This record gives sequence, structure tokens and C-alpha cells, in this order.
Amino acid sequence: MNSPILFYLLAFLLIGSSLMVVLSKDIYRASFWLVGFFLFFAGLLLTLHAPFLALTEIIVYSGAIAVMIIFAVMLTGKYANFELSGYSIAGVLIAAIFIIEIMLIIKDVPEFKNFAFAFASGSNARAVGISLFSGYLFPFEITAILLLVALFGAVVLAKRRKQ
Amino acid sequence: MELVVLLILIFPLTGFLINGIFGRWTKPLAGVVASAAIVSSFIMALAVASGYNSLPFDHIYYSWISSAGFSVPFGLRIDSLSLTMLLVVTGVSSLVHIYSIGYMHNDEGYSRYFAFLNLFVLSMIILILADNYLLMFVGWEGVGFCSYILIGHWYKNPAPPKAGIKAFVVNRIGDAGFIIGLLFIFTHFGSLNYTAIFNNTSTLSVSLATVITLFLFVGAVGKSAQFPLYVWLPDAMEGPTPVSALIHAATMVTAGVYMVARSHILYSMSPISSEVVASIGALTAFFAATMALTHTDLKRVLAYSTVSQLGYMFIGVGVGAYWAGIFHLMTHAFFKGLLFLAAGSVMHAMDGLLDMRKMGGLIKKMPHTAVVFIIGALAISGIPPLSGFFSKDTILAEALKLNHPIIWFVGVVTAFMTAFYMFRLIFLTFFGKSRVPDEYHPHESPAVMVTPMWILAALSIAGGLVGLETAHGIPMKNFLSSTLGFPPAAVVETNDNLLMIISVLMGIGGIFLAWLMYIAKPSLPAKLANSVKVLYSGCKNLWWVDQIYNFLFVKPLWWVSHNFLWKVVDVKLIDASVDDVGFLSAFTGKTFRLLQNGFINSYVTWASLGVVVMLGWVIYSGGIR
Amino acid sequence: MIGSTEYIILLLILLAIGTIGVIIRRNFIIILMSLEIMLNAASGLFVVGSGITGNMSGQLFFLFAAAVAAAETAVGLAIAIVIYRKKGSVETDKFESLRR
Repeated sequence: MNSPILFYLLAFLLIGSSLMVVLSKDIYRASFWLVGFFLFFAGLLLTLHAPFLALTEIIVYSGAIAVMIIFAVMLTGKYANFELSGYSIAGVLIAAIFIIEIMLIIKDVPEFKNFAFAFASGSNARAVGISLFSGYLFPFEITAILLLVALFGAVVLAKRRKQ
Repeated sequence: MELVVLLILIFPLTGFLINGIFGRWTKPLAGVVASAAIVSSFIMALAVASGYNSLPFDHIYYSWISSAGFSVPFGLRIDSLSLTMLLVVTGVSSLVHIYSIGYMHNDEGYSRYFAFLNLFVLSMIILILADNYLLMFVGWEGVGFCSYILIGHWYKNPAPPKAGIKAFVVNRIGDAGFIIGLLFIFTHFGSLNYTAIFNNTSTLSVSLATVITLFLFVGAVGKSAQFPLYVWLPDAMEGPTPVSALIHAATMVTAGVYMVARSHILYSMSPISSEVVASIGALTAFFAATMALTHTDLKRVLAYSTVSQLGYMFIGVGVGAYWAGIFHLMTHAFFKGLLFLAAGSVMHAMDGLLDMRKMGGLIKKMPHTAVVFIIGALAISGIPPLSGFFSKDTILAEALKLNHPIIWFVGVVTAFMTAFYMFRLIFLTFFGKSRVPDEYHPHESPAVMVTPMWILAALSIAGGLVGLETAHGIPMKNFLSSTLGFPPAAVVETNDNLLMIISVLMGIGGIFLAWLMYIAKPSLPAKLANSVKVLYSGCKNLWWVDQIYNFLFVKPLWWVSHNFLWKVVDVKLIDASVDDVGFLSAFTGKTFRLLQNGFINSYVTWASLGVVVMLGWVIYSGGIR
Repeated sequence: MIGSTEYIILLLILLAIGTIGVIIRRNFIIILMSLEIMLNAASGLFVVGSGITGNMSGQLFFLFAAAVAAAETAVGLAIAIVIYRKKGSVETDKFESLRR
């Protein structure tokens, strides 16, 4: 699955959809482009030989998170006036300098140069599961608590208080 | 053992923290808390004393300062010298704390008073138990600070804070000398630990030893109120009387004597320093006694008497009989503590009045106080078999034996004056016709005050018996000499019995003269005053020492401070620079406040700028390889 | 052949686009979406790292990042709703009340 054509196609789609999210006037449209971005990102993960993560991406991001965002848009929404903040030029400049700097840095690192990926053979889901429940069991449990706390936090925040 | 020794320190610290922090709520119980803390400390000290076969104890608890070439541990040392001091300090402190419950009972600053009294005891214990000079200096400064605070306890009146400041400033002069002495020690030995210093004295030249010990003695002169730095002690009587008893009679002022005894190895290397110590001691003993002769303020007479007795202690450590100095320190703590507490009891009864001319006949009103006062006075006058007799006689006998006849003579004359002024005080206060103004109603003090006085009275009577000659020598001497070494052999043959009779006669003579002048023939003092006018007014005006100091030091210093330090240095230099610093921070604050504009976008911009700058730094310093 | 360099550069470009979104947009919901893009790009770098080393840890970090992103979105959106209720808008220039 490692063909250049597929990679460049996905790159084009990812950059395009993310730009649409960032630049679109309509929040509804932006949120649907976000769903698109998540799906293309799942494709990118597939090319990285991580099918389990690709499925997670689809379920968690384009399933749960995107739906949450769309709900929020419906609750607050209407149309966002596309008025840029006073930092637009600075932001674009900073982003450009950032990319240039990173390229300058990684160009000298031999490990990154046309390095062939080394992937474990066998089922990806099985490999993820084994390491998750052996070496990373404790962080996994902590993450569960984090999600629970976030759930409570969101409920407490969004609840209407009695006047 | 380590824990028990540490507990001696922890109890007063706990008491200080409880009363200091929660004083507002513990107020009714502050005295009980503080006394319990010190009594527990005393019990711990007794526990340590019971295991004294394992002495000397020296334990490093943790490393306090540690840097290249310089390390100071927080170590505590208990040997026979510090054990004696420890028992005296915690014991007398316990009694004074209990006495204070009654004496201070409706004072505004009740819990503050007890908090600082506990802190004082803590500092004093650190001073005594330290196993190096720097830790001793911590305690040394701590007791000075507590003394300052407690002298100024009644800070709403004008006099006490002034007296506190005077005590502090005069002590600083001594402390400066002490620090210089410590620096000399450190540059020579590279350490401030007692053992490290005293085991390496062979490398020390006599001249350097003289320099070191003289500077250390300047510190002792300041702390122990010797001539010429004694001026703070009489003024310190502005503080509450139990404070005078504890700090300015029994414990703190003896720190100088303790320090000289602790450094006895250095002092015994330098004959000049020892001579200076003994001479200053003798001079002070005599000089202060003359000042006490004519004073009419009850507490100040006792203060000058303290200065004089401290002079005796320095005679003892100066002539080389270190154990005798410490012995007198111990008995003095008992009887001078007692005298001050009794004076406080009189003051309590007289609503703070201290003028002896307005007293008289008080023995009928307050029999307990009068009796313990007389016991204390007999002890200080050196009447056998009370404690003062043994210690004072030992010091004088040692002085003569070790070839200091002039000092011996001065000491004997001073003993005569001591007996005279103490009994003058007693006859004026407790005997004769009552001259108490009608508005005062003297009464005996409550039991919580009388009991500690009786305990001290018992100690004043019996405390000297450890100095009694037995088949195995003198117990006190043997005990202390395990640390201090035996005094050198006598160089002058003396008849001990004759010496003893002379000092007893001096005491009795002084008492008789006081009786003659103030009971039998009350007209005599005025006639005598007229016939030797210069001497009398000299005594009366304390030899104008305060005035001379004022003219020589205080006035010029004040002038320089006012015209140069204040008007030029302070206003033009310090104030101006402080103002500029303030302006600078206000200006930068105003400028950077613009960053905090409340817009998320702006914060994110600055944060990402930070990332970009950091990556730029990575590239600049050669990438990640 | 596509090597890791191309993947890294692509993901960094996505990260930069997300940053631009956070900086230039004033709508809080859009800012949250841009944050999701940034998070995805950053955790994608973990997966690339996992491919480089052949170690599963990178992939697991992607999972944890996903969980954290979900928590962050839930709380962030709750905040957006509260602010909307109070101010009637989710424009960021409305949330400067902490400044005073």
C-alpha cells in the first residue's frame, strides 16, 4: 500500500480539507470538511500499516468528536461572520517559518531520509492489544478516569443553573 | 540518647510555635503550655544527666552548611561543662516560667511573652549544646534577639524599647569582636568544630592564640556585661522582672563565661589574654559594686550586683580555675535568680514601685518574700554554708594561689561591698519603719510565685555543697575538670583556713556596717555622704559613664547619622535608587500588561512564536545531531 | 518510494495549517476544529515514529491522544455552550472578562 500516487493524493486531500476547515465562512461546512479530514487521515494511517488506528480514527474522530462538534454548532451556531483576528499575518508568517525551520532540521537527519518502514508482521490489532494490556495497562486505566472526569466536567459546565 | 538530646531542643521550640502562632487562642493557657515545654525539657536534661557515664556525647544530626572547604554540621555536644549549664538553664528556666504564670497573669502580651521566653530557652540550649562555634553563634545571636524583644516587652512605654535597643546595639559591638575571632579561628584551622580546633592547637602560635582569644573575649564582654560594655545591663531592668531574673542574671549573661570556659584550651595558651580576662573581671567586679552602693532602685542594685558577680566569674576563668568560674556561674544562677524573683514579688506587691526609699517594714506584709530574699542575700554575701560562700571563696583562693594577689585583694574588698549593699537593700526594704505611701497595699504573692522562690532558696542554700572537700577531692571540680582540665598547681603557698576566715569576716563586716547605717543610726549615711562628697556623687552618678559614652560616641554618631547618612546617603542615594527601581517595575509592568489583552488568538500567537524561536535556536546551535 | 520524510513534512504542514486556524479565526468552534487538526497531525507523527522504529508504543500514543482529544473536545464544547448562553456569541473577543 505504499505507492507514491496514493500518498500524494491523500496529501492533497488532507491539506485541502484542512484548509477548508480553517478558511470556510460557514461553520456547518467547516464541520463537514472536518469529517472529511478525519476520513482522509484514516486513509493515511492505513498507508502507515496501522489499520487498527485507522478504524479508531473513523469511529472516535469522525464518529464521536465530529458529531459532538456538529451538535455544538447547532446549539451555538448560526453563521460565523468571517472576520479574521488581528493576528492573521503574524499567524501565517509564524506557520511558514515553522515549516521551514522543521525542514532545515530534519534534512540533516539520516534516519529520516527515504527510510523504509519496519512493520511488525501479523495482525496489527493483536499487536496493539497485546502492548496496550501488558506494558501500558496503567496509563490505559488512567485514561479511563480522565474520560470520566471530562464527562463530569462537561456536564457540570453545560448544566443550567437555577437562578 | 540522640533522640532525648534532640527532644531537649524540640520541647521549647514546640512551645514557642504553639504560643507564637496560636497565641490568640491559647492565651489563657500560654503560661501552662510554655512551662510544660520547659519542664519537659528539664526532665529530658535530667535523663541525659542520669546517663552521664557515656559522656562526652557528640552527635551530628545533619549537615547544616556544606560547601567546598567549609562545612558546618548541626551537631550537639554534651560533656560535663555543657551538662552543668544545661541543667542550670533548663532548671532555672522552668522555675522562672512557673513564676511568670503568676507574675504576668493579666498582661496584654501574655502569650507573646511566653512565646519569646520559650524561644530564648531554645536559643540558650543551642548555644550550650552546639559542637561548633558557628552553631554557638546562632544561639548567641538568638538569645540576644530574645533579650531585646523581652526587654522591650512593654513597648507602649517609652523607656523599655529604648533600653532594648541599647542592649542590642551594645551587644552588637561585642558580637563584631566575636565574629572576627571566629574568622581568625576559621582561617587558621579551616573548621569551627570544637574537637577539630582543640585537637590541633599544637599548630597555633601563642600570638595568634592571643589575638583569637582577645577578640572572642570582646564578644564575652558584650554579652556578659563587663567593663566597658556593661552599660546595657542596668537599663535592661526595664523588662519584666522574671526576664531580668532568667536572662539578665541567671543564664544569658553567663554565656560569655561559658564561651571562655569552652575555649579554655585557647585561653590557657595565651597568658596575656588570661591576664586581660582576669583583670577586666576584677575591675568590673569592683567598679559595679561601687555603683550598687548608693542606688535606690531595687532592680538596678541587683543589676549592678549581677555585673559585679559576672566579674568574679571572669576572675575565675581568667586565672585558670575554669571550674571555679563555672561553679560560681551555677550558684549565682540560683541566688541571683532568687533575688530577682523576690524583687519581682516586691514589685508585684507594690504595683511596680522600685524605689527603696518608699519601702521599709515589708517583712510583716510579705514574710515569704522577705525570708527568701535574706537567704539569697546571705548566699551572695558569702556566708557559710550557703552556696555563694563556696564558689566565691574558691575563686578568690584560686586567684591568690595562682599568683594574682592584687586581684585577690580587689575581690575581697568587693565581697565586703557586696555584703554591704545587699543588706542595705534588705534593711531599707524589709526592716525599719514602713515608709510605704498610703495608696499602696503590699501583700504576699500567690503560691505559684512563692513556690519557685522557695525551690531556688533551697538550691541557694544547698547548691554549694557540691564544692565541699571530700575524701576524693571536690566533686564539682572533678566533674567539670573532665572537660575543663584541672587548674594548674598552686604557685603560692596559702593557708586555706585563713583565707576562708577573711572572706567570711568581710561578709559579716559588710552586713554589720549596713545594719549600723540603716537600722542602728539612720543619720549616718547622710553624714558620710557629705564627708566624702566626690566619692559619693561618683557612685551616685555611676561614675558618669553613660554621660561619657554619650559625649564620646553617641553624640558624634548621631551627628554623622543625621547630617551625612540621613540627608546625603539615605535621601539622595538609597531613597532615590529605590524610587527608580519602583518606577522601572511599574513601567515594565505597564508595558507587558499590553500582552495580557484577553484574546485567545493573541496568546496562541505568542506561544507559537515561542516555539518558532526555540526551533530557531536549535538550528542555530547545529540541529538535533 | 515514499519514505518517512514525506510523511513528516505532510504532517507538519497539517500542524501548521491547524495553528494558522487557531490564530486567525475568531469563532471558538472553528478554533476547536483547528485544534483537532493539530492533535491529529501531532499524533500522526507518533505513528510515523512507530513505523520507523518498529515499536508499537507510537501507535499506542495515538490511542491515548485520541482519548485526550475526546475529553478536550467535550469540555471545550461545554465551555463554548456556557459562553454562548452568557454572551450570545462564541466570538473570542467576547471572552475577555478574565482580563479585568
